[in-house]
Amino acid sequence: VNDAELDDRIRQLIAKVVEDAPASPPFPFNPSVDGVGHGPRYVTLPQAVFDIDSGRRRRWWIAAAAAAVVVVALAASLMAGRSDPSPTIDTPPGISPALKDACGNDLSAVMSRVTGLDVATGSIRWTTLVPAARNLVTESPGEIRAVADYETGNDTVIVVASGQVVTTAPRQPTPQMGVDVNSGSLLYGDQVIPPAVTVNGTTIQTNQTTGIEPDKVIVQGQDQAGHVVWRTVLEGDSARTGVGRPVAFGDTVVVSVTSGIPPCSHEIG
Amino acid sequence: VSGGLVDDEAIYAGCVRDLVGFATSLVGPDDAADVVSEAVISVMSAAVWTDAANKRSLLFRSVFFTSRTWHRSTRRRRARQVHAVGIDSVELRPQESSEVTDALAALSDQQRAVIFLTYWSDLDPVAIAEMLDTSEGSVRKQLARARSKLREVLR
Repeated sequence: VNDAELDDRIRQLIAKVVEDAPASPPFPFNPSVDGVGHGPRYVTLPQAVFDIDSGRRRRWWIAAAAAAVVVVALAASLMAGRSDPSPTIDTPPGISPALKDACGNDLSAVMSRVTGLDVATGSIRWTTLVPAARNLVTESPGEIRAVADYETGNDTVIVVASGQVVTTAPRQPTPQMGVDVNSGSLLYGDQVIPPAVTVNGTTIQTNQTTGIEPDKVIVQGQDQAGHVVWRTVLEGDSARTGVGRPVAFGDTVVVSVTSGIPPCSHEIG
Repeated sequence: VSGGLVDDEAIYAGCVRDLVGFATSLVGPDDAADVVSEAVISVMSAAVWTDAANKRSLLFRSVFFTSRTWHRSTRRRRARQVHAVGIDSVELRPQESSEVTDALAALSDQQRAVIFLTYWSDLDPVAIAEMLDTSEGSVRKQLARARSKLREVLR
């Protein structure tokens, strides 16, 4: 193969690569949303904002600024009597402090970050850290169910409006928690929690980029035409991070991100 | 803010096909769209974006670095999968073998990028070096090595 022939072959090769390329993803920001506190640039807390040239110092500054904006917005909201606080999560009765999975791993230290987002804009309304054993958010008619106690199999109900937690009937057999290695979704027993919910025509999906950063969760809202109208990045705290199904409550969508789930060979299937 | 985003969207619309093609050459068609989305979110959220003189170049640069992170993350994730559930439980999509995949598999990340930008974007080594944050000499060396490898594969 002489040089000219090689150049032609390489151009054909690249043309084939481009021909096989997937469809273009939609623009990941929503230009119709104005103001601080809306849109993915400002609501991704704690988003990993990396600055190619400025490095850590810039990242720290952006995170601090974003945190300050959230604090100011929350204070203003409280003063105006329009607060949307995170739900209070009480400890249900009967939960042992020593929780273990089927492999004997101690689960009592595993935590989940539950975040409430605005359905229309994706902005974060509240976020709270709770024990993971009480935080597998699933859905049942008319209410938001969260949770499973590993030892008793009890479900717990989070009623966001009143901020209360109550326990319901035991579930058998005792469920196990894990992460589906293909989708990144949380497993409840051997069931993968579906990663989408539709509210007022907006479909909220989670975990769209598991192939890139396993510890990063992207929540995005799509309109009926399939266009992304907002995108919010939530970060886990470790590599073994899973995300529960987004659950809607009014115009708030609740997403549960659980990190540090210990590996267990029984967790799948 | 809104006007800036509209401008950004126009820039994005003007080069997204090339970005997806570039990402496909780096990570394959299955993950290319995700890599592009991730790269765009990251770079447009960074301070350097606002004052960048050549934003198109910056987008390509971000896709390149995001793809390298993707490769590292994929290796770590697969190791965790094997550790967690055993290799028999991990369902991996079989990789189709073709002249294209074989040829790209022979190249390093940087060589793939240099080949794409040379033969598809028609950029010279100086422009590629600026885009990939490396030296012109390194680009020329990687291009020569990539051509040598492809000469063997495409023979």
